[in-house]
Parts: sequence; structure tokens; C-alpha cells
Amino acid sequence: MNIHRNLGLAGLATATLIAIAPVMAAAQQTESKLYEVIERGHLIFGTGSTNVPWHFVDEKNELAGFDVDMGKILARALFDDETKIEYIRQAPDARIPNLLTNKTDFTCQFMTINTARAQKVEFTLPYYREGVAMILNKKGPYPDRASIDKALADGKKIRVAVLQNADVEDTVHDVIEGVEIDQYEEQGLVFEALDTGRADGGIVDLSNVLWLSKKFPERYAHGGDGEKASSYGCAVKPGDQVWLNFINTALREAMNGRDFDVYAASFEEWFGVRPPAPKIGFPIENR
Amino acid sequence: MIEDFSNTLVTATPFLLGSLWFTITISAMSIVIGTAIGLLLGLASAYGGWVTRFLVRIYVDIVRGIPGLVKIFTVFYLVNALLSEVAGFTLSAMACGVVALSIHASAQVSEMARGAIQALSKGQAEAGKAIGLRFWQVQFYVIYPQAIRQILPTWVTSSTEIVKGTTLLSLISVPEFFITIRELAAREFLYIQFYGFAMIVYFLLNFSIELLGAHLERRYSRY
Repeated sequence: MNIHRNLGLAGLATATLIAIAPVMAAAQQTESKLYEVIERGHLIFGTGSTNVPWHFVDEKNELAGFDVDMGKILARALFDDETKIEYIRQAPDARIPNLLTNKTDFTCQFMTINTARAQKVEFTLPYYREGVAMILNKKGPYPDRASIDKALADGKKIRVAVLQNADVEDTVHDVIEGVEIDQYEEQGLVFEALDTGRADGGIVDLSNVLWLSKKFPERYAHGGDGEKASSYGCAVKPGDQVWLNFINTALREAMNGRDFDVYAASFEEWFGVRPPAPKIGFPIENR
Repeated sequence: MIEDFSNTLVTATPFLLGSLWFTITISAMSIVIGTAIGLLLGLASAYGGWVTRFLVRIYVDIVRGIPGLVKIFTVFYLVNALLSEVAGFTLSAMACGVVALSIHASAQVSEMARGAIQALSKGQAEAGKAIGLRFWQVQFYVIYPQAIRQILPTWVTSSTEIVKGTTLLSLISVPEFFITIRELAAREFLYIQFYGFAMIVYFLLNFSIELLGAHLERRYSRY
């Protein structure tokens, strides 16, 4: 009798769970950041404002750059309107804390994807693959790579400036060996050290070197590339798969699908080259 | 380069003025609120019972022992998280900046006020009482005018520290003057020129506070 009653209760509980499962799933879904953002009517987007060509303030005092364009791609996917963004201008140190404390919905700020960070936030698909390179001052004593190499061969000391980082020695030696390294807290200070002659060269992102040698050809020269690559991704607070999936869908379609022209135009504007267009047929991302 | 700098400066003038106004507003609010709270705390530690004095002492020691940047981050992240949990709202970045800088200023002013009040001879207060003034009247007419004169030189230093402290607020996304300078310097790659310009502007701002302090000192010198 007891067995029957217990079986009956178990059956009832199972039936109840099956009945309410879709409701619970729906409730979970509506708790996603995606629906919160749609209901709010604008995206709260964390990015920086002091690094050309990634995120900087243009002549109209508006944010511009490749990272900013990624935010616009997402706003267009959400609202069909790239202006529905509230920008939070944040320092690189604030990228993760601002996500975790809900001050931003998502962040795109030349953030290198690595496993240490992936324990704190969830990364989207990479939207750029970055390398390191050396930038030289054309008006300084070493205006090109040949003059640096010759100085090193003659036993002279060469000092390069670089942004502080955990694996900074590896980064520098990926581009040039046998130099002394000065670390700076901010990328801008690396350029300042180069301009004022406190450094003979600067090791920075390849994208920066390409941008600067294009914008100021009389001031800066490209002094060689490293071989290692790192991926830049946007990031969201962990635990919201619906939101992450949506952003990935928007980015993937911009890089490989029907919104490719928008992504490609931005890429060309900031890096000077147009990325290869996805071919119709087999999906490029599965290659 | 000089031409690039002057051209950028001209086109960016409205944005620079806007962010300078932000810096002035935040500084003024923090100095006024911090001074008001500090004077009350100073009064409490000079005249309060041992419990009050003990609590004020703890507050002052904690606030003075924590770096300004840590205070700013604590208010922006921790206090905001608690507010969100308990009261269901959060403070804006600017409000967090004002709160953090006001707390910083209040601890400094509190010690200045306590020291100044205790430095005055007890005969001053007793003379006030002897002619029939109540406690608050003694404070307002006898103690404060003399104490303020004592406080002013260090208050000027503390206030200029607050103005300088606003440069840290860009780290919590407050669009103050120095972040605008950094944005322009980064865009045009004219770091030395823009940082030099910022140095002059901050000097003028703090020099104005020093002039105000000197003016008030002259005004209160008759007491």
C-alpha cells in the first residue's frame, strides 16, 4: 500500500516537473541580459577612449574605433539602430569589474582572450587577431630596423619601451633580441618615451604601428613584427548563455555572414586593408 | 607639432570647457560637503563624550589610512553593490566620486577643526558663557571665527588635494578634465603638449583656491 502510495507521489511529482519545465525554462530565459537590454531600449557598452584605432574620441567628441564599431554592430542587431548605446568610458583595469557588477552589459576593449580571464568572464568569438611590432621614431637616432640591428651588432645598448604586462619579456623578444626593456603603465607613455628619446623603439600592438605609420608617415616607422598572435574578444558576465549566444550570432554574421560589409568597412577604415569576403557555399568558420 | 596642438586645442575648446566645468563642480561639491561634515566631526571630537570621540577617532583613522583611489573604488563597486542589494538603486559614477572625495575631505577637516578648537584657551568659551551666551552661540560667535582662521591654511592644502584627486575619477568613468586631456593626447599623439597644458590649468584652479583662502584669512584676521 505504502509502495503504491509512494509510486503515486513520485509519478505526480514527475508529471508536475514535466508540466512546469517549459515554464521554468521560459522564466530562466526572460531573466537573460538579452531581454533586459531589449526592454531597457539601449545597450550599456563598456569601452575605452584613449587608444587609437581601437577606441578613441574623434573631432566631434564622439567615440570611434574598431572596438566601438563592434558595439554598434551589436546595437544594430538588437535595435536596428547603432545609436542606441550608452557608452561607459572605462580604464582597461575596469573592464572585468564593471561587467561583474552589472555596470556594463558587455565590453569590447582590445581584450586579449586568455584562460586566466576566461575564469572571470565569458569571451565572445574573437573579432580580431593581434600581433606585436616595433615602432621607431623617424627623427630619432634609429629611424629604421637596419640602424637598430647595426647598433646592436656594434655592441651599443638599445632601449625599448613597452606596456606593462605579465609576459612582457617574451613579447619583446618575439620582435627583437638583446635590447633593454623599460615598462610603462600606459600605451601612450610608450609613444611619449619614443618621442622624447627616452626609448629607441617601442613594442606595441601591430595595429597601432600600422595606424601610426599610416597617419604620421613623417614621424613613425614600422620596425618589424613578432610571430606570436593573440585573439581579441568582447566579454560578458558569466552565466548567461542566451546573451552570449546572441552576441556571438551578431559578431559571426558580421564577420562571416550577411552583415559582412559593415564589419569589412570598419576593418578597412581602421587597419587599412579589407578582410577576405566569405564565400558562398561552405561556411568559412568551419574551415 | 605646435600648430597641430593649437589647432586641436581650438577645436576641442567646448569639450575641454565642459569637462573642466565637471571637475570644478565635483571639486566644489566635495569640498563643501567634506568641510561641513568635517566641522561637525571636529566639534563632536572636541566636545563629545568618550563614545562619540572614540567613534570619530575610528572614522578619521580608517579614512586617513586608506588611499584615495581605494576609497573611490570602494564606493563605486562595494557601496554601490550593497545599495543595489539593500535599497534597489545605485549611485552614478559622479555621485560616487563626490561621496569618496567628501569622505576623504571630511576626515582631514575634522582633525583640523578639533586641533583648532582645542588650541583656543578655555577662557574664550567661559567668557562667552559669562555674558550669557548659549553653547551654540559661543561656538558661532566666539569659537568658530577664531578656529576658522587657524584652519584656513591647512584647509586650502586639503582643498587643493581634492581638486588633484578628481583626476583619479576617470578610472570610474567620470568624464572629468584630465581624461579629456588624455583622450586628446592619445588621438593626436601630442602627450607632452597636452599634459603641459593640463599642468597649467590645474595650477590656475588650485591657485584660485589659494587666493580664496588668503581672502578669507584676511577677513577672519580681525578676530
